[in-house]
Amino acid sequence: MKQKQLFEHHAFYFFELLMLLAGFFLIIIFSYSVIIQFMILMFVLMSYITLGFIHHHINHDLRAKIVLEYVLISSLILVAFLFLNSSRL
Amino acid sequence: MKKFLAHYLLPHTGNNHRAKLLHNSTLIIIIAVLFSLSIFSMHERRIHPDILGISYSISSQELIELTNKARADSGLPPLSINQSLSTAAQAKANHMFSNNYWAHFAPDGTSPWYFIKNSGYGYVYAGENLAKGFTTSGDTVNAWMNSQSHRDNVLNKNYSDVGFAVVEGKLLGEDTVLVVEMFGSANTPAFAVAPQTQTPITTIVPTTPPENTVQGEQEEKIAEVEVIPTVLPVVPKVMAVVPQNSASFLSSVITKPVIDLQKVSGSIVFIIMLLFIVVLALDFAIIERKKIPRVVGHNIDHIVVIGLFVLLILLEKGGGILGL
Repeated sequence: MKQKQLFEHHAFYFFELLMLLAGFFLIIIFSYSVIIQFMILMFVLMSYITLGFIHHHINHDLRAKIVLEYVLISSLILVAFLFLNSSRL
Repeated sequence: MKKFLAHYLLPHTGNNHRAKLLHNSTLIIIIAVLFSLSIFSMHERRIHPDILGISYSISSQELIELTNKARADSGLPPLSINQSLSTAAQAKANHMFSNNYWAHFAPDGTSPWYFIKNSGYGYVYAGENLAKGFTTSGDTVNAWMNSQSHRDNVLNKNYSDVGFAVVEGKLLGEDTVLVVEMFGSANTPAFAVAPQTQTPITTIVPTTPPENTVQGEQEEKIAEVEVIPTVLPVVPKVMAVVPQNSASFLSSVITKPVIDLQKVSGSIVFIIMLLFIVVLALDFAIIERKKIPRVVGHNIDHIVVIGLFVLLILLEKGGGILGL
Protein backbone atom coordinates (compact mmCIF):
# COMPACT_ATOMS: atom_id res chain seq x y z
CA MET A 1 0.00 0.00 0.00
CA LYS A 2 2.78 2.36 0.99
CA GLN A 3 4.62 1.55 -2.24
CA LYS A 4 1.46 2.28 -4.21
CA GLN A 5 1.13 5.68 -2.54
CA LEU A 6 4.77 6.44 -3.26
CA PHE A 7 4.24 5.53 -6.92
CA GLU A 8 1.18 7.81 -7.05
CA HIS A 9 3.23 10.65 -5.52
CA HIS A 10 6.03 10.23 -8.06
CA ALA A 11 3.56 9.88 -10.93
CA PHE A 12 1.94 13.17 -9.92
CA TYR A 13 5.26 14.97 -9.65
CA PHE A 14 6.33 13.57 -13.02
CA PHE A 15 3.07 14.58 -14.69
CA GLU A 16 3.25 18.02 -13.09
CA LEU A 17 6.83 18.47 -14.30
CA LEU A 18 5.86 17.47 -17.85
CA MET A 19 2.87 19.81 -17.87
CA LEU A 20 4.90 22.73 -16.52
CA LEU A 21 7.79 22.08 -18.92
CA ALA A 22 5.40 22.02 -21.89
CA GLY A 23 3.73 25.23 -20.70
CA PHE A 24 6.96 27.12 -20.08
CA PHE A 25 8.33 25.89 -23.42
CA LEU A 26 5.27 27.38 -25.12
CA ILE A 27 5.86 30.65 -23.26
CA ILE A 28 9.39 30.81 -24.71
CA ILE A 29 8.05 29.99 -28.19
CA PHE A 30 5.53 32.83 -27.96
CA SER A 31 8.08 35.32 -26.65
CA TYR A 32 7.02 37.81 -29.34
CA SER A 33 3.69 38.45 -27.62
CA VAL A 34 3.48 39.12 -23.90
CA ILE A 35 -0.32 38.82 -24.01
CA ILE A 36 -0.20 35.28 -25.44
CA GLN A 37 2.50 34.43 -22.88
CA PHE A 38 0.30 35.74 -20.08
CA MET A 39 -2.64 33.62 -21.27
CA ILE A 40 -0.48 30.47 -21.50
CA LEU A 41 0.92 31.15 -18.02
CA MET A 42 -2.60 31.52 -16.61
CA PHE A 43 -3.62 28.22 -18.18
CA VAL A 44 -0.49 26.48 -16.87
CA LEU A 45 -1.05 27.83 -13.35
CA MET A 46 -4.71 26.82 -13.34
CA SER A 47 -3.62 23.32 -14.34
CA TYR A 48 -1.07 23.44 -11.53
CA ILE A 49 -3.80 24.30 -8.98
CA THR A 50 -6.05 21.56 -10.36
CA LEU A 51 -3.26 18.97 -10.14
CA GLY A 52 -2.50 20.02 -6.55
CA PHE A 53 -6.19 19.77 -5.73
CA ILE A 54 -6.43 16.24 -7.17
CA HIS A 55 -3.16 15.17 -5.53
CA HIS A 56 -4.30 16.24 -2.06
CA HIS A 57 -7.79 14.86 -2.63
CA ILE A 58 -6.34 11.42 -3.41
CA ASN A 59 -4.18 11.69 -0.28
CA HIS A 60 -7.28 12.58 1.76
CA ASP A 61 -5.66 15.75 3.13
CA LEU A 62 -7.42 18.36 1.02
CA ARG A 63 -8.28 21.50 3.04
CA ALA A 64 -9.39 24.99 2.01
CA LYS A 65 -6.13 26.35 3.44
CA ILE A 66 -4.13 24.10 1.12
CA VAL A 67 -6.15 25.10 -1.94
CA LEU A 68 -5.58 28.75 -0.98
CA GLU A 69 -1.83 28.06 -0.71
CA TYR A 70 -1.74 26.69 -4.28
CA VAL A 71 -3.78 29.66 -5.50
CA LEU A 72 -1.43 32.09 -3.74
CA ILE A 73 1.76 30.46 -5.09
CA SER A 74 0.22 30.63 -8.58
CA SER A 75 -0.77 34.26 -8.03
CA LEU A 76 2.75 35.06 -6.87
CA ILE A 77 4.15 33.70 -10.16
CA LEU A 78 1.52 35.50 -12.22
CA VAL A 79 2.18 38.83 -10.49
CA ALA A 80 5.94 38.29 -10.79
CA PHE A 81 5.47 37.76 -14.54
CA LEU A 82 3.39 40.93 -14.73
CA PHE A 83 6.07 42.90 -12.90
CA LEU A 84 8.79 41.42 -15.12
CA ASN A 85 6.91 42.58 -18.20
CA SER A 86 5.70 45.91 -16.85
CA SER A 87 8.21 47.56 -19.17
CA ARG A 88 6.43 46.04 -22.19
CA LEU A 89 2.81 46.68 -21.18
CA MET B 1 17.65 40.18 13.75
CA LYS B 2 18.68 36.55 13.97
CA LYS B 3 15.33 35.70 15.58
CA PHE B 4 13.47 37.68 12.95
CA LEU B 5 15.22 35.85 10.11
CA ALA B 6 14.70 32.46 11.77
CA HIS B 7 11.02 33.28 12.21
CA TYR B 8 10.59 34.12 8.55
CA LEU B 9 12.90 31.54 7.02
CA LEU B 10 12.84 28.42 9.22
CA PRO B 11 10.02 26.28 10.65
CA HIS B 12 9.83 26.07 14.46
CA THR B 13 7.23 26.06 17.24
CA GLY B 14 7.03 29.89 17.22
CA ASN B 15 5.67 29.98 13.64
CA ASN B 16 3.57 26.83 13.89
CA HIS B 17 6.28 24.72 12.21
CA ARG B 18 6.06 26.61 8.92
CA ALA B 19 8.48 29.40 7.90
CA LYS B 20 6.55 32.66 8.20
CA LEU B 21 7.47 33.57 4.61
CA LEU B 22 5.37 30.60 3.45
CA HIS B 23 2.29 31.51 5.48
CA ASN B 24 -0.70 32.48 3.37
CA SER B 25 -0.87 35.88 5.07
CA THR B 26 2.76 36.67 4.09
CA LEU B 27 2.14 35.44 0.54
CA ILE B 28 -0.83 37.80 0.22
CA ILE B 29 1.35 40.75 1.33
CA ILE B 30 4.15 39.88 -1.16
CA ILE B 31 1.62 39.48 -3.99
CA ALA B 32 0.04 42.85 -3.12
CA VAL B 33 3.46 44.56 -3.05
CA LEU B 34 4.53 43.06 -6.41
CA PHE B 35 1.19 43.97 -7.98
CA SER B 36 1.45 47.56 -6.70
CA LEU B 37 5.01 47.77 -8.05
CA SER B 38 3.81 46.55 -11.46
CA ILE B 39 1.03 49.16 -11.63
CA PHE B 40 3.38 51.88 -10.35
CA SER B 41 6.12 51.07 -12.89
CA MET B 42 3.63 50.84 -15.80
CA HIS B 43 2.24 54.24 -14.82
CA GLU B 44 5.59 55.94 -14.15
CA ARG B 45 7.13 54.58 -17.33
CA ARG B 46 4.56 56.48 -19.38
CA ILE B 47 4.96 59.74 -17.44
CA HIS B 48 8.75 59.71 -16.94
CA PRO B 49 10.27 57.45 -19.60
CA ASP B 50 13.62 59.18 -19.13
CA ILE B 51 13.73 58.06 -15.49
CA LEU B 52 12.01 54.68 -15.57
CA GLY B 53 12.07 52.71 -18.80
CA ILE B 54 13.91 50.18 -20.92
CA SER B 55 17.47 50.76 -22.02
CA TYR B 56 17.58 50.31 -25.82
CA SER B 57 20.62 50.39 -28.04
CA ILE B 58 19.68 49.34 -31.56
CA SER B 59 20.98 51.17 -34.60
CA SER B 60 21.19 50.48 -38.31
CA GLN B 61 24.91 51.17 -38.17
CA GLU B 62 25.51 48.42 -35.60
CA LEU B 63 23.12 46.06 -37.39
CA ILE B 64 24.96 46.41 -40.72
CA GLU B 65 28.32 45.98 -38.99
CA LEU B 66 27.18 42.80 -37.23
CA THR B 67 25.48 41.48 -40.36
CA ASN B 68 28.59 42.05 -42.44
CA LYS B 69 30.80 40.54 -39.74
CA ALA B 70 28.67 37.37 -39.89
CA ARG B 71 28.98 37.38 -43.68
CA ALA B 72 32.72 37.98 -43.53
CA ASP B 73 33.07 35.02 -41.13
CA SER B 74 31.42 32.88 -43.81
CA GLY B 75 33.61 34.27 -46.55
CA LEU B 76 30.85 36.36 -48.12
CA PRO B 77 31.14 39.94 -49.39
CA PRO B 78 29.62 42.72 -47.28
CA LEU B 79 26.19 44.14 -47.97
CA SER B 80 25.78 47.81 -48.78
CA ILE B 81 23.23 49.95 -47.03
CA ASN B 82 20.69 50.94 -49.66
CA GLN B 83 18.49 53.98 -49.24
CA SER B 84 15.54 52.50 -51.16
CA LEU B 85 15.59 49.31 -49.08
CA SER B 86 15.79 51.39 -45.90
CA THR B 87 12.76 53.38 -47.10
CA ALA B 88 10.97 50.08 -47.81
CA ALA B 89 11.87 48.77 -44.35
CA GLN B 90 10.61 51.97 -42.75
CA ALA B 91 7.34 51.76 -44.72
CA LYS B 92 6.92 48.12 -43.66
CA ALA B 93 7.51 48.99 -39.99
CA ASN B 94 5.00 51.86 -40.17
CA HIS B 95 2.48 49.58 -41.88
CA MET B 96 2.87 46.96 -39.14
CA PHE B 97 2.35 49.52 -36.39
CA SER B 98 -0.61 51.22 -38.06
CA ASN B 99 -2.32 47.92 -38.92
CA ASN B 100 -1.24 46.19 -35.70
CA TYR B 101 0.16 42.92 -37.08
CA TRP B 102 3.32 40.86 -36.64
CA ALA B 103 3.88 38.96 -39.87
CA HIS B 104 5.54 39.18 -43.24
CA PHE B 105 2.20 39.46 -44.98
CA ALA B 106 -0.29 42.04 -43.74
CA PRO B 107 -3.85 40.93 -42.90
CA ASP B 108 -4.96 42.66 -46.13
CA GLY B 109 -2.45 40.55 -48.09
CA THR B 110 0.19 43.25 -48.59
CA SER B 111 3.52 41.50 -49.12
CA PRO B 112 7.02 42.71 -48.19
CA TRP B 113 7.78 42.96 -51.92
CA TYR B 114 5.12 45.65 -52.27
CA PHE B 115 7.15 47.96 -50.02
CA ILE B 116 10.37 47.19 -51.87
CA LYS B 117 8.82 47.88 -55.27
CA ASN B 118 7.17 51.05 -53.96
CA SER B 119 10.53 52.35 -52.78
CA GLY B 120 11.78 52.21 -56.35
CA TYR B 121 14.18 49.33 -55.79
CA GLY B 122 13.98 46.98 -58.77
CA TYR B 123 14.99 43.66 -57.30
CA VAL B 124 15.97 40.31 -58.65
CA TYR B 125 16.34 38.70 -55.24
CA ALA B 126 14.77 39.99 -52.04
CA GLY B 127 14.29 38.84 -48.47
CA GLU B 128 13.07 40.12 -45.15
CA ASN B 129 14.01 39.53 -41.53
CA LEU B 130 11.90 40.92 -38.70
CA ALA B 131 12.64 41.22 -35.00
CA LYS B 132 10.89 42.83 -32.10
CA GLY B 133 11.37 43.08 -28.37
CA PHE B 134 15.17 42.98 -28.34
CA THR B 135 17.10 45.70 -26.53
CA THR B 136 20.45 45.64 -28.34
CA SER B 137 21.64 45.26 -31.92
CA GLY B 138 23.78 42.31 -30.80
CA ASP B 139 20.80 40.39 -29.36
CA THR B 140 18.82 41.04 -32.54
CA VAL B 141 21.49 39.76 -34.93
CA ASN B 142 22.29 36.84 -32.60
CA ALA B 143 18.61 35.81 -32.64
CA TRP B 144 18.64 35.90 -36.44
CA MET B 145 21.87 33.95 -36.64
CA ASN B 146 20.47 31.28 -34.28
CA SER B 147 17.47 30.65 -36.54
CA GLN B 148 18.10 28.74 -39.76
CA SER B 149 15.75 30.70 -42.03
CA HIS B 150 17.01 34.08 -40.80
CA ARG B 151 20.59 32.90 -40.98
CA ASP B 152 19.99 31.82 -44.58
CA ASN B 153 18.87 35.37 -45.36
CA VAL B 154 21.86 36.99 -43.65
CA LEU B 155 24.28 34.62 -45.39
CA ASN B 156 22.58 34.58 -48.78
CA LYS B 157 25.19 35.17 -51.49
CA ASN B 158 22.53 36.48 -53.88
CA TYR B 159 22.03 39.65 -51.86
CA SER B 160 24.18 42.71 -52.30
CA ASP B 161 22.12 45.40 -50.55
CA VAL B 162 20.35 45.77 -47.29
CA GLY B 163 18.10 48.34 -45.63
CA PHE B 164 17.07 48.66 -42.00
CA ALA B 165 14.33 50.34 -40.03
CA VAL B 166 14.46 50.52 -36.23
CA VAL B 167 11.15 51.88 -34.93
CA GLU B 168 9.68 52.17 -31.44
CA GLY B 169 5.92 51.87 -30.96
CA LYS B 170 3.00 49.87 -29.64
CA LEU B 171 2.33 46.58 -31.41
CA LEU B 172 -0.24 43.94 -30.39
CA GLY B 173 -0.80 45.66 -27.08
CA GLU B 174 2.81 46.00 -26.02
CA ASP B 175 5.47 48.70 -26.26
CA THR B 176 8.32 47.43 -28.33
CA VAL B 177 11.09 48.23 -30.78
CA LEU B 178 10.58 46.72 -34.20
CA VAL B 179 13.53 45.97 -36.47
CA VAL B 180 12.89 45.39 -40.18
CA GLU B 181 15.78 44.17 -42.32
CA MET B 182 15.18 44.13 -46.08
CA PHE B 183 17.66 42.33 -48.31
CA GLY B 184 17.92 42.74 -52.01
CA SER B 185 19.85 42.42 -55.17
CA ALA B 186 19.00 45.07 -57.69
CA ASN B 187 18.52 44.79 -61.40
CA THR B 188 19.77 48.38 -61.53
CA PRO B 189 23.05 49.39 -59.96
CA ALA B 190 22.34 49.55 -56.25
CA PHE B 191 25.81 50.85 -55.56
CA ALA B 192 25.33 54.09 -57.41
CA VAL B 193 24.87 56.04 -54.16
CA ALA B 194 28.11 54.73 -52.71
CA PRO B 195 31.31 56.66 -53.38
CA GLN B 196 33.19 54.76 -56.05
CA THR B 197 36.41 54.83 -54.04
CA GLN B 198 34.84 52.66 -51.33
CA THR B 199 34.14 49.69 -53.48
CA PRO B 200 35.33 48.22 -56.73
CA ILE B 201 31.87 46.85 -57.39
CA THR B 202 30.84 49.78 -59.54
CA THR B 203 33.52 48.89 -62.02
CA ILE B 204 31.88 45.55 -62.66
CA VAL B 205 28.20 46.39 -62.72
CA PRO B 206 26.98 48.09 -65.88
CA THR B 207 25.93 51.64 -65.10
CA THR B 208 23.03 51.73 -67.57
CA PRO B 209 21.29 48.39 -67.74
CA PRO B 210 19.13 47.82 -70.78
CA GLU B 211 15.49 48.65 -70.23
CA ASN B 212 12.73 46.03 -70.26
CA THR B 213 15.18 43.22 -69.66
CA VAL B 214 13.56 39.92 -68.87
CA GLN B 215 14.10 38.21 -65.52
CA GLY B 216 16.58 35.69 -66.90
CA GLU B 217 18.83 38.37 -68.23
CA GLN B 218 18.75 40.23 -64.99
CA GLU B 219 19.81 37.14 -63.15
CA GLU B 220 22.76 36.78 -65.49
CA LYS B 221 23.90 40.23 -64.45
CA ILE B 222 23.60 39.20 -60.87
CA ALA B 223 25.83 36.28 -61.64
CA GLU B 224 28.45 38.80 -62.74
CA VAL B 225 28.14 40.57 -59.43
CA GLU B 226 28.75 37.31 -57.63
CA VAL B 227 32.30 37.24 -58.98
CA ILE B 228 33.01 40.18 -56.69
CA PRO B 229 34.38 38.29 -53.66
CA THR B 230 37.64 37.76 -55.51
CA VAL B 231 37.96 41.52 -55.93
CA LEU B 232 36.88 42.58 -52.47
CA PRO B 233 40.06 41.87 -50.50
CA VAL B 234 41.49 44.91 -52.26
CA VAL B 235 39.40 46.94 -49.77
CA PRO B 236 40.50 45.59 -46.37
CA LYS B 237 38.30 45.64 -43.26
CA VAL B 238 35.30 47.25 -44.91
CA MET B 239 32.57 46.05 -42.56
CA ALA B 240 29.84 48.35 -43.76
CA VAL B 241 29.81 49.92 -47.16
CA VAL B 242 27.81 53.01 -46.21
CA PRO B 243 27.57 56.01 -48.47
CA GLN B 244 28.60 59.28 -46.92
CA ASN B 245 25.14 60.82 -47.26
CA SER B 246 23.50 57.85 -45.59
CA ALA B 247 22.81 59.42 -42.19
CA SER B 248 19.28 60.38 -43.21
CA PHE B 249 18.18 56.76 -43.67
CA LEU B 250 20.09 55.16 -40.81
CA SER B 251 17.50 54.71 -38.08
CA SER B 252 18.14 53.87 -34.46
CA VAL B 253 16.48 53.66 -31.07
CA ILE B 254 18.89 54.46 -28.27
CA THR B 255 17.45 55.21 -24.85
CA LYS B 256 19.17 55.25 -21.50
CA PRO B 257 16.72 55.85 -18.63
CA VAL B 258 18.03 56.47 -15.11
CA ILE B 259 16.45 53.19 -13.96
CA ASP B 260 16.35 50.29 -16.40
CA LEU B 261 12.97 48.81 -15.48
CA GLN B 262 13.64 45.50 -17.21
CA LYS B 263 16.85 44.88 -15.27
CA VAL B 264 15.46 46.09 -11.93
CA SER B 265 12.24 44.06 -12.15
CA GLY B 266 14.22 41.03 -13.33
CA SER B 267 16.60 41.24 -10.38
CA ILE B 268 13.80 41.74 -7.81
CA VAL B 269 11.74 38.82 -9.13
CA PHE B 270 14.83 36.60 -9.42
CA ILE B 271 15.83 37.26 -5.78
CA ILE B 272 12.28 36.71 -4.44
CA MET B 273 11.87 33.46 -6.35
CA LEU B 274 15.27 32.12 -5.28
CA LEU B 275 14.43 33.00 -1.67
CA PHE B 276 11.19 31.04 -1.92
CA ILE B 277 12.96 28.01 -3.37
CA VAL B 278 15.57 28.04 -0.58
CA VAL B 279 12.99 28.52 2.20
CA LEU B 280 10.69 25.81 0.75
CA ALA B 281 13.63 23.39 0.51
CA LEU B 282 14.76 24.15 4.10
CA ASP B 283 11.19 23.86 5.36
CA PHE B 284 10.79 20.51 3.61
CA ALA B 285 14.13 19.15 4.89
CA ILE B 286 13.61 20.20 8.52
CA ILE B 287 10.00 18.97 8.77
CA GLU B 288 10.82 15.67 7.04
CA ARG B 289 13.65 15.12 9.52
CA LYS B 290 11.52 15.94 12.56
CA LYS B 291 8.47 14.10 11.17
CA ILE B 292 6.08 16.83 12.26
CA PRO B 293 2.56 16.46 10.80
CA ARG B 294 1.16 19.65 9.22
CA VAL B 295 -1.73 20.71 7.03
CA VAL B 296 0.14 22.40 4.17
CA GLY B 297 0.66 21.98 0.43
CA HIS B 298 3.44 19.86 -1.05
CA ASN B 299 6.67 21.83 -0.94
CA ILE B 300 8.04 19.83 -3.87
CA ASP B 301 5.11 21.01 -6.03
CA HIS B 302 5.95 24.62 -5.21
CA ILE B 303 9.70 24.17 -5.68
CA VAL B 304 9.12 22.63 -9.12
CA VAL B 305 6.81 25.39 -10.36
CA ILE B 306 8.93 28.26 -8.95
CA GLY B 307 12.17 26.61 -10.13
CA LEU B 308 10.87 26.29 -13.69
CA PHE B 309 9.68 29.89 -13.58
CA VAL B 310 13.22 30.99 -12.60
CA LEU B 311 14.53 28.94 -15.52
CA LEU B 312 12.03 30.73 -17.76
CA ILE B 313 13.28 34.13 -16.55
CA LEU B 314 16.83 33.11 -17.42
CA LEU B 315 15.99 31.68 -20.85
CA GLU B 316 13.35 34.09 -22.07
CA LYS B 317 14.85 37.03 -23.92
CA GLY B 318 11.57 38.77 -24.55
CA GLY B 319 11.98 39.10 -28.29
CA GLY B 320 10.56 37.51 -31.40
CA ILE B 321 11.82 37.06 -34.95
CA LEU B 322 10.31 36.31 -38.35
CA GLY B 323 12.17 35.58 -41.58
CA LEU B 324 11.12 35.34 -45.22
